[in-house]
Amino acid sequence: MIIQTINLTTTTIRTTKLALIGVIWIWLFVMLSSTIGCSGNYASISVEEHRYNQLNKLIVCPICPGESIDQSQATISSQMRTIVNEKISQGWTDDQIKDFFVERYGPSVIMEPPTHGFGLLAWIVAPIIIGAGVAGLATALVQMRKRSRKEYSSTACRPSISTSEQRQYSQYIESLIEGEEA
Amino acid sequence: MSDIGQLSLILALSVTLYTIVSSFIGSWRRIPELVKSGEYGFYTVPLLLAFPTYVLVHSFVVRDFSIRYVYENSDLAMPHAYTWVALYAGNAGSLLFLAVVLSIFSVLAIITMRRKLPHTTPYATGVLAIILAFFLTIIVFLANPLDKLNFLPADGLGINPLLIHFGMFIHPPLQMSGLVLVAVPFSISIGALLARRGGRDEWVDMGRLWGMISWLILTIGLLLGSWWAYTILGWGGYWAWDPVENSALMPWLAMTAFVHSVMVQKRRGMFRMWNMIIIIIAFTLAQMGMFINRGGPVPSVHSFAQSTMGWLFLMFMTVTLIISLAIFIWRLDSLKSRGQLESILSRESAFLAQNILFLTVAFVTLWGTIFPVFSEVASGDTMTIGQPYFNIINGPILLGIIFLMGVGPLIPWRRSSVRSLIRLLRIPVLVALATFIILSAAGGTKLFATISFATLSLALSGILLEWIRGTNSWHKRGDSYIQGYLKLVSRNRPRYGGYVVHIGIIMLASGITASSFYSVQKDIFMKPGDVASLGNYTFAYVDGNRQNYTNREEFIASFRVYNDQSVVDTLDAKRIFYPDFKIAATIGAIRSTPLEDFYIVPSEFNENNEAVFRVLINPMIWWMWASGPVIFLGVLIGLWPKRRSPPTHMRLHDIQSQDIQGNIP
Repeated sequence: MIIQTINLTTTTIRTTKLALIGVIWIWLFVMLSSTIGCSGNYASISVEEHRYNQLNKLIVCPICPGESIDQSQATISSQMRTIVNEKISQGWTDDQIKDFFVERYGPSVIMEPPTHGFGLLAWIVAPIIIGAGVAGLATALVQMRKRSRKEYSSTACRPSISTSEQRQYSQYIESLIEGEEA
Repeated sequence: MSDIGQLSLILALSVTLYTIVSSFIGSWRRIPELVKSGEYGFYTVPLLLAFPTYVLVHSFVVRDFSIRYVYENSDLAMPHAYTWVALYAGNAGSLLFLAVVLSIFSVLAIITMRRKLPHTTPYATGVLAIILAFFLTIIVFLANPLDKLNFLPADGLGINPLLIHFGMFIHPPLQMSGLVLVAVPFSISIGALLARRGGRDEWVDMGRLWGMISWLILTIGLLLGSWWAYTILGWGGYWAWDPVENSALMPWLAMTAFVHSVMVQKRRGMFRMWNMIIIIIAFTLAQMGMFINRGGPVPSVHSFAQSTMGWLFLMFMTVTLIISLAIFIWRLDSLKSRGQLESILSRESAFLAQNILFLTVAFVTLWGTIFPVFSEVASGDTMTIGQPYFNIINGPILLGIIFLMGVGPLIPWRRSSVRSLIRLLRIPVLVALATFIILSAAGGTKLFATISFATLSLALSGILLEWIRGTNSWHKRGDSYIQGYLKLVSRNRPRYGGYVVHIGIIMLASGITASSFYSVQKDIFMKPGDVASLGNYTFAYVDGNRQNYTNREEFIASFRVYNDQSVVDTLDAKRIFYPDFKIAATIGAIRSTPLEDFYIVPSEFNENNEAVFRVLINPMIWWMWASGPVIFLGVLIGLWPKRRSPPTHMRLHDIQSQDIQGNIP
């Protein structure tokens, strides 16, 4: 009997695992081919071109509402893109190119707030909130642990309703037993 | 006829105002007849609003340009089918649309809940009526779609050409409906609070039902909007963290947290305060969505129903928020938890973490959206916040949520030990590690993308493990695998419907991860006859054509596309110019496979049909659009009603609250 149960359990585990592994392989195959395809295609343009695209997505078109020079079709956008292209081929770093535009158009031309001064406020908000949430969770748990330890330490099982409610309840039960209530 | 339509609008407003008064006074003073009269009166409001809607549709169809709204949003050349779009294209029409949708769903909600929640329903009705009255007041006095001009123009101004696309028939109405329908679970929750029954958990079933309905509509609205942006706006992307997009995302985030968090309230009587706060936040964010959409202070590519009444919505939002919080504090004692959080290693703890993470993403998005305005006021410098900021900060947090989505359903309630967690999570974690190693070795150069895929594998394997184990146990009792699986799903529809939705989310997240990190983009100048290549695609610019229509000029570039395996495709990329609006719309040529999208977008053509073409390879975008039907199916399964069996036990507080005949109020 015991041997039968053990056999049944191992067969189930084996079948489960086999089926699961089968499905996961299919998923992995999709992921794999995408990644290989991705990295193959990804390497088909140069590192500079990738930098060019990324920078264009960071720089705002000065006359369009909320569009980057990558998205916008305005003439000034294509002029700015040409400048970015030139500077990359001249060997400027990303930060230097960003500073170049900030000098001419002000800090609002870059789609990220700066990491110093007032802009820092934008960046630190999320970690602060998560930190606060984790701290709150931890504090709440520690407090609950302390409280529940106190409760478990009493030997009697104390019901959570008052004595008058207990009386009401037992009266109701008795009347049910005696068949007076429907 | 438009005068009768106007009368009908005024009547609808009057009835709604009466419902507010009768519901609240009738509940407070315990006059059931008064409550009932308000409720029945409220049922007539959808009909009272249907008539002016019909009048408006009729005016569009007969081209009655004496009505200002018809003049501003259509012209003689507009095909009749676009009347549907024109109804909500402008400010006044969209408000009427919102009012109709809200009134219909409010009536449905009241009908479904009045038997189950007899104490809460009057208050919920009152709250719904207040919200509807706000819209109707604006419609009647400030933005009346049936207002007449004092002359009869010969032709109208025409509809915004960007709206002439298949997606525009569905995306704006769905998106707007999703936003306004957050009012329904909100009203149920606040109604329960007002009736002092927020802590009784009876409202949770209705709250979850209507929460999921509004969540589903919001989800589909967001997906359709992304799809429209991808296929017609022509920049190769689908989400720009634009203020209007964000304003639709934030309530979605809060509603996702809400529909999960109420499960804990149902199961263990916990998170009662959390859930009230979350739904208040969700509704506030939904109202903020309407504010930003109608002339908010942040510039957006998106605002099409521009008006100066954004400030009215902002005021209403502020007042609603303050009053809701006041009610929350007033009824705080009724929201004490029944259960306790006993351990970090518990499902409750996972739900708590997801609440915090979802609200953090919502807050970061809000912060990023209003920070430019804030920084200008506070420091004098204007700063712009765009895609890069949101991607960097929200990305990891969303990944954390996906991790929770994977392990949460496997962690036991109440408490668990490290050893049992290891046993439960062993296989998903191993799969995740294997995915990470294999993908890194295969050339996955972007670390965050690889981590993301590993986490998605963890989530997927967790779900599949549950399915396989469950089906196996039915199979052992004699059913076939298919029968067993169907029984499994049917016996626990919320859970297994939820798993299907999670699979949809995994598909969506896979597409987002792959396209965010591995997209390839190149601008190429081509003239007819040129051949170029990108990645493993070679494409030839075969021919350029111009076609003139009455209201637009179309430039069509035909391409022949080859790839390594010499599969040939013919694609047309179009650029359409509307001289009356001075807008150019691009329709990209897209060849989509589950593996990747090949995408060509033209810029302006010159006289020789030469142009700069943006060519993109976007991996796995297909999975994003495919996730929509999966999510829809999952919600359908999750909400599908079961035949009710009579209750087999009663809780103590139900026994206590019985009256002398044994009826539970």
